[in-house]
Amino acid sequence: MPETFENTLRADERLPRMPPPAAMVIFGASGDLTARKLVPALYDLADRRLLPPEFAVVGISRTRMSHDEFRSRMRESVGEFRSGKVRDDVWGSFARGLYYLPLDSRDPAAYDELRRFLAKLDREHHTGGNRVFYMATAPTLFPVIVERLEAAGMNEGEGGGFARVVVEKPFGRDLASARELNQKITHHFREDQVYRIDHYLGKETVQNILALRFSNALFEPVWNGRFVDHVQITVAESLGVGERGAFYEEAGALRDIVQNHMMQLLCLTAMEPPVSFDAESVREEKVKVLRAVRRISEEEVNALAVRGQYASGWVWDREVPGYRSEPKVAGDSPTETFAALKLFVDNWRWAGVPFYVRTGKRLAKGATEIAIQFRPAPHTPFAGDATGGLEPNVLVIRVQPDEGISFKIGSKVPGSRFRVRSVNMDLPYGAAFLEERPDAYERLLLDLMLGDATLFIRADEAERSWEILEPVMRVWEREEPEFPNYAAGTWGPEAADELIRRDGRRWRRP
Amino acid sequence: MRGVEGIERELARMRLRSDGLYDLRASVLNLLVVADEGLAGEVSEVISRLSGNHPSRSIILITDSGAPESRLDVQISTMCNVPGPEGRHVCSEQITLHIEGEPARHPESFADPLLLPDLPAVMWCPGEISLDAPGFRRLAGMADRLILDSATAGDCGRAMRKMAGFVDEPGMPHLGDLQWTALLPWRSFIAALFDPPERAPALRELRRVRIEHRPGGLCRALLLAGWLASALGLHPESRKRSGDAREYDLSGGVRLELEQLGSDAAPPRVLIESAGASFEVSVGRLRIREGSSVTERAVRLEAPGTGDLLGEELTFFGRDGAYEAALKVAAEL
Ligand SMILES: NC(=O)c1ccc[n+]([C@@H]2O[C@H](COP(=O)([O-])OP(=O)(O)OC[C@H]3O[C@@H](n4cnc5c(N)ncnc54)[C@H](OP(=O)(O)O)[C@@H]3O)[C@@H](O)[C@H]2O)c1
Repeated sequence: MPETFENTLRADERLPRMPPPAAMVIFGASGDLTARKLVPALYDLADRRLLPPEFAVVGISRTRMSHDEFRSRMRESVGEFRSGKVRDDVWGSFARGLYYLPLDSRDPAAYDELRRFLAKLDREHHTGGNRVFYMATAPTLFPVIVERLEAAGMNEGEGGGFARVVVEKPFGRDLASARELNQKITHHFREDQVYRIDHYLGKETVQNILALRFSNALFEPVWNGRFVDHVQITVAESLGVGERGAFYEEAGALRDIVQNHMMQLLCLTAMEPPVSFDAESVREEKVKVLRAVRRISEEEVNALAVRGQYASGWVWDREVPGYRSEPKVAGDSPTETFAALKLFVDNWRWAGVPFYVRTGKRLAKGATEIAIQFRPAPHTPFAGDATGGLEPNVLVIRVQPDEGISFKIGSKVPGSRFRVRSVNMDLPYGAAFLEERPDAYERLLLDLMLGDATLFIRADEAERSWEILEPVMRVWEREEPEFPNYAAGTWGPEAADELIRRDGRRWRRP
Repeated sequence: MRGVEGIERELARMRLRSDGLYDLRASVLNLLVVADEGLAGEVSEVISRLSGNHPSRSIILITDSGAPESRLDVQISTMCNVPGPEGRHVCSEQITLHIEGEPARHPESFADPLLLPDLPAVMWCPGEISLDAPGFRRLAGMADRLILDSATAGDCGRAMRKMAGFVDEPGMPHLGDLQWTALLPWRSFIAALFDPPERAPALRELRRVRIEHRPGGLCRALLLAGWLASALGLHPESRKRSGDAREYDLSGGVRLELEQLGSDAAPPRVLIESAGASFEVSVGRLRIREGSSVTERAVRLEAPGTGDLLGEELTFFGRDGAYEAALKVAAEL
């Protein structure tokens, strides 16, 4: 095979980013994630003509199915889990490259069969020895699968091709298990072959935080402790746990939201401008933020962290049950459905600026936002009574719903007297484009086939996030909570208000 | 309507709602359209469909400089979309000027004061235009990009040569052609076919390229041929023409054939042939012969409509290097 070949037809900057030919192996092909997210996202990529013509998918799980049974099952999922019609011609050419092998991921012999099958695909589909192994199965199987892959010689692509593994959340359930998982994986694959997926980063709205910060020279000069009084990050849901009770009992708000989504929002808000938008530069800056987050000692946990669990209450026009009455939840469950923390980022930019973060289920409304609260103007030349309704500037980055920014500024009240008050300026920039946004999985699957890890989590990122929360988890495990402590449809427990009120501040109403 | 201030005031008034607040105006660009009366309806329809994804101020100049009397007629409208669950309005603006007689000879004096500051201006000419007309040049000089449709030209070869000359002129905007845009799915698909390294020889040992196009598709076919040749470093050495068929010898011993299909019913087709393999791509099918093995499958390469093509062009700024290279070869064919 020629080692240096440049396809000069590609030297055209307007061609869409199309990945090289490859075979994607999905472990857990009969499962929920494959049906609801992965295959529909791959179909959408095919529909947008973003999949290479030479592409194949091999599904693996124990359930007995033929290739055709798998295809028709996937066709149903694609119809069910995405909006819009499924086109026969698109499906036809996509399904041509869709295969299924009924194998047990624990069985070493299965990997010889897989390897032979992939070699056949290289010949028939010109997949070029490139492989992506997607772990859409229980986390307990990840270490087994990577070990077997290496044993069968599949931790490198065939004949100079690439081999990548994709690991789904959760990345462990505490620091020790995250470390253990990372060690096991990187024992068999290099870190640069590992793609840890947190679909949150695939969302356009989340990426827009970076666009807003680093493409506008206006914000950066005031984005620091000299001008910023404090920052509030809110990830609020109005929904309860619904059908996910069993899963949520094992997780709780800290593991489900704070360790990943909240820490990502904190990083994007606080990070230094990366030198370039490549994987190493961006992730390095994010990790620097996490490293700068001040350690919370166990003695401080009760002063800096608050947990809550919802009781029954009214959300909009409906009376909803408390958490402990939800299906598959223990009647005396100690699982938190709300968490609030006060964090500090101890570096030059943010010294002394508190970051108040909170998340919860069954809050008054669903909203994700980052609010930058500025210090008051150092001196107002206007008479005292002239500035009655004036408050310091606030810049709010709304991630959802209605993506946009709003800015509170002081303005003169019309009239012959000189009076100023605060006016809220709303700029829903997301609304400027009606274009349908690609689903987060679509974006991330494409990036991973292109070998761009910018929007994936690096091992130390995951570990450092756990490390920050470790003392909180230990104390919360040890001490009995007084649950439930907030009514559904409110903004969380009284203690959360107290956490910020002590500092002479209050939570915004998102 | 009264001059520029009157138009601006009226546009602002149209965004004023019954509750005393203004709907937002979101704009990412100025779209300047030059057309004649016959195209006015189509233009307006294309633009109103574009407004969601490319919120802009559109300034449509419908000119007739041959009319005996001078006349100016202004129509303005806003198109407000209501995206998202909260139903906030976001408005795009459309200003249509019908200009007749003497004033139609200097359309730039209408366009200049209406362009929104700080945003790029894209000029789109949906019909045939003369790149040499002085009024046109002054107008084009205000734009950052000029989008034409070579298929509207009576003589395709001549249009390619004119456009190839225009590209290098200082002070003129970067050029785009909707016929080139229409080729995007084809270019992307054909380029990806040669991504597998084992197909490298097929490109290196290219023997023959054959393009069969529909009666109105010559410009597109020339651009496709220009693209393949320029990307592979080939240039025409000799040509032969008989009726609707054209044949060229390209450098490197490659034969290029362009042939017009008898009717619009037959699908356009591209055949790329080397010593060991052949690739046949048509709107709906792909057929590959490699050695003794033949594979066939469905593909989807139908051309999008004018609105989608224009929308695609509006996402691109700056100089389109691959297009300019393809255009230069096409101009020599
Ligand atoms: N579902 C989601 O929306 C979602 C979202 C984020 C992250 N995730 C993560 O994605 C992963 C998969 O989640 P899921 O919801 O899809 O789980 P699931 O529905 O329970 O699917 C598990 C899959 O693994 C297969 N499997 C189990 N043991 C196997 C074995 N020994 N050999 C081969 N296959 C085996 C199962 O098929 P057989 O029984 O046929 O073998 C099934 O296809 C988990 O790590 C989860 O945390 C899921």
